Amino acid sequence: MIGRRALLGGLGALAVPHPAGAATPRLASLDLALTEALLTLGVTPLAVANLPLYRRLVGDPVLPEGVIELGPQQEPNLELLQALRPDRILAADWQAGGLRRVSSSFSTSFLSVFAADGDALAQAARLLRAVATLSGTDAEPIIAEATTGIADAALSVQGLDDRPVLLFRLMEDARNMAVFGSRGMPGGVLARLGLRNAWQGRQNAAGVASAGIEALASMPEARLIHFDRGAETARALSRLEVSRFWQALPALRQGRIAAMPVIYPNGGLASAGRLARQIAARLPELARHG
Amino acid sequence: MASRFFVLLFVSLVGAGALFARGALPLLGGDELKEILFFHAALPRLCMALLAGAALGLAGLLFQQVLRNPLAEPGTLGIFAGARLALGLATLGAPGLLEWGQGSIALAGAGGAVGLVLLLAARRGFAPLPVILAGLALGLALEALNKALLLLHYEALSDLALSQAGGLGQISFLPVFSIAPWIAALAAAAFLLRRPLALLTLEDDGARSLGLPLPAVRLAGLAIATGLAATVAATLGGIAGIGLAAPALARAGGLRRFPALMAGSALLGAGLLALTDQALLALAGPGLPAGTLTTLLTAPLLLWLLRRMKGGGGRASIPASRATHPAGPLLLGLALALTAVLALALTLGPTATGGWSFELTDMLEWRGPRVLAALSAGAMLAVAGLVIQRLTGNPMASPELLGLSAGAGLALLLAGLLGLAPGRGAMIALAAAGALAVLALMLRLQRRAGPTGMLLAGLALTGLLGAAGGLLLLTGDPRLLPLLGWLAGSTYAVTAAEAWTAFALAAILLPLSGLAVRWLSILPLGVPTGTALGLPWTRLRPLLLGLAALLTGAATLLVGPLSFVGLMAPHLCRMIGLRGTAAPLAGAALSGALVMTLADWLGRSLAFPWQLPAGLVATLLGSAYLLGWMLRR
Repeated sequence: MIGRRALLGGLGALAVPHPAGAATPRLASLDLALTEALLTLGVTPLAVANLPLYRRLVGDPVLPEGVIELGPQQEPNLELLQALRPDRILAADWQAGGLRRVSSSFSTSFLSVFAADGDALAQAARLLRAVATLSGTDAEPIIAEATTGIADAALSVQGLDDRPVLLFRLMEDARNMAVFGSRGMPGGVLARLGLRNAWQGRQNAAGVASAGIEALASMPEARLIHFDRGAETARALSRLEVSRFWQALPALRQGRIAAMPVIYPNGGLASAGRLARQIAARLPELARHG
Repeated sequence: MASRFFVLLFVSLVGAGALFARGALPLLGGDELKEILFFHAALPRLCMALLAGAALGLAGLLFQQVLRNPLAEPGTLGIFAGARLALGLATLGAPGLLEWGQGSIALAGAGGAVGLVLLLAARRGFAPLPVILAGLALGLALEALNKALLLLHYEALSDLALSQAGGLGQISFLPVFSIAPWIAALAAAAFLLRRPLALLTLEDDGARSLGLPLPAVRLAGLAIATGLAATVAATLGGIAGIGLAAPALARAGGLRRFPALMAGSALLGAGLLALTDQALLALAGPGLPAGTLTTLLTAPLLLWLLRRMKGGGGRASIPASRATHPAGPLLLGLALALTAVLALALTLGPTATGGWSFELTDMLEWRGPRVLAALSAGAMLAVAGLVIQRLTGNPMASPELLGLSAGAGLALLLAGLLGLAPGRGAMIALAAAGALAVLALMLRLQRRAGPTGMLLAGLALTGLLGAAGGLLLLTGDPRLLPLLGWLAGSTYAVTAAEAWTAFALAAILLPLSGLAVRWLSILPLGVPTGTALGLPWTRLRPLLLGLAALLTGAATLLVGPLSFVGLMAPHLCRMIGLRGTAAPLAGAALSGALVMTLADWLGRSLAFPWQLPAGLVATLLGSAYLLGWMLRR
């Protein structure tokens, strides 16, 4: 189903090529990953869905002032879209079901955001190419740069022992966490860096799983990297400080844990490159501890 | 004697203990980390369940004693919803307060909810059923607010929602240690007050003749119970049902004296919650919070308790305008008002720059289907409400309060769970069948539990649907995501074809309801009278039931299960002085359409470019109306 939608979206993109030399098309993006892709390509969208969430979770590339907010990703404001009359709307394939009315009235491209084959980075490159075609830009230099960047990062973590790495985010109550499996972008980055993913349990289509924090006990070997999302993470950590269980985790005792700035887990190549650089910068130091 | 109580207590505690031993004991004798996992995760989890269960069991008993009401407990008094709203508002508005302690924030919310419920029930002399009715209604209103906040601030509040889901997982003994002294102190206070509290079951005169300062004792009891519930709510979130089940089982188990009941309710509460949590842990893993299951079980429990209660609570009456106005001008006025709101909803909307824009035709494509769907659903719900109020002779009956909408929703949910993907027509039939089943059940129940008992049962069913929805949200099954949007009552995805179908259905069903008008006019006189008048009651009744169910099913599909329009619209008509039969019917349809269209427009405009579902806005308007009406009575 998703595959076919993606294919149709792709064909639609081929059928309506952007006329060369014309002004940049006025595009509206309804998904954070698509907003990121546009900004990565240097295209400023006219309007995006859930603008505050982009600034909070993705942030980089920076969303310029003056971009218009369209409301929630599940229910972007149709009247506002009508008033803005964008040349084209970019939406994620998961939104297609709820946006039947959008696609019948605007030229809309539904693009695959999640990887059907489980290779999130290859999917991110495909997505960037599709968005480049729709916006009349060139994705290849950026893909090449990101690939080199990730390869460089891989070099700097090469030669470390093969301890697995767990990528996760602590929930505010400090009892639950979101862990990132092989299927999503963070898992894809780990794989490209030649690192073993400590999470081998179940995961959803986006490569995310929710787990109780006691699951950390089942991965005593792992290096732990968690994403710092600000206030929630601070509250979680203040609760964990007094937990014997947390203090007793081998990773904590041996200094094998690090927090890093939040990365949007469904993000594209820009997010992937940033995550790779962050890991490359921190992991060798973690490895010195054990 | 009390031997049955000890059997119950033994079974729950030993069951919980056995499951705990099976799951957690193997951790001992493992490596050091496994041992820490035992002592700092598994053991505190068990202790937390026992402690919270005891607190809730005792709180339930105290509420029941003070209010002389076997249905009172934190969940039926709106306490959990109130605490959660306070925590949510603090998270959004003053996160600094959270660092300072969730306990006092939750206590403020819980105390506010209890105070409001009592204020609402004061006019009826705190009669048992009206208190619970006010509590459940307030709970629904507060939950609607919580849902609206979560929709608008999902990223800021989703972590809180997860931690407030009633899960018992622990990573240290600290939370147990931090709430244990509070719970112990409150329990000790209750123990010291056991004699005056025990005397509250006497009639007021009897207690007063013993020299008891009744209001002071009541207030103290309420404060202790609220404190106990708020302490649990702050740490774990909503765990409804334990406070209802533990005292009921203690009584059914043979305990009679109040001090024994206090101890028994606390012990059974501890056993029940621990058993629930350990069983869930063994069967479903650590993902499912115990609170969702106990909340889910509250509805059948309430129904069971209702069967054991005598009816009563009396009948409510709708305030009616003294003067009887001629219907023509009133209906014309309503029609004009509806036209004005329609014009507003179709043409006026906010713009990106913060201003307002007036568009005659440009936005019709987007606003048209939503307005048409809201209008049709509002009219259908209102007429369904009128039919049901006449059918039951109960002015508080409505598709929402009797659980008809919840029945429709549960039928759809069941179909979704079974993996069926019914078409639009089949969905309407399915929703109507669910509504019909509930309506038949309610009419049976009315004979046994009285009119107010029937309302309680309906609200319990509505709560069941809400809990089921919450559970689905946690499991995250993608097949059911469209149903979750529907539960919130959004008209966003309604297509023009669907809207016109709804309109056509309304256009057919409303005149049919008009044909039923003559029968309706005889119904308030009561069934026997109607039969004596030669009315072929046995044949008409199924027809009326089917009509009400179909109206409810079709409308519920568009605007969700909780709008209260079916309650409000008939009342509005009576209040402005519409009498007779045809005029209230037309008036209800017009005002129902008016309210729902207005709700849709407000939902689209208030948070622009974000949107609140029409059903949710109508719920907020409707529950404010319901609470206000209770307050005035």
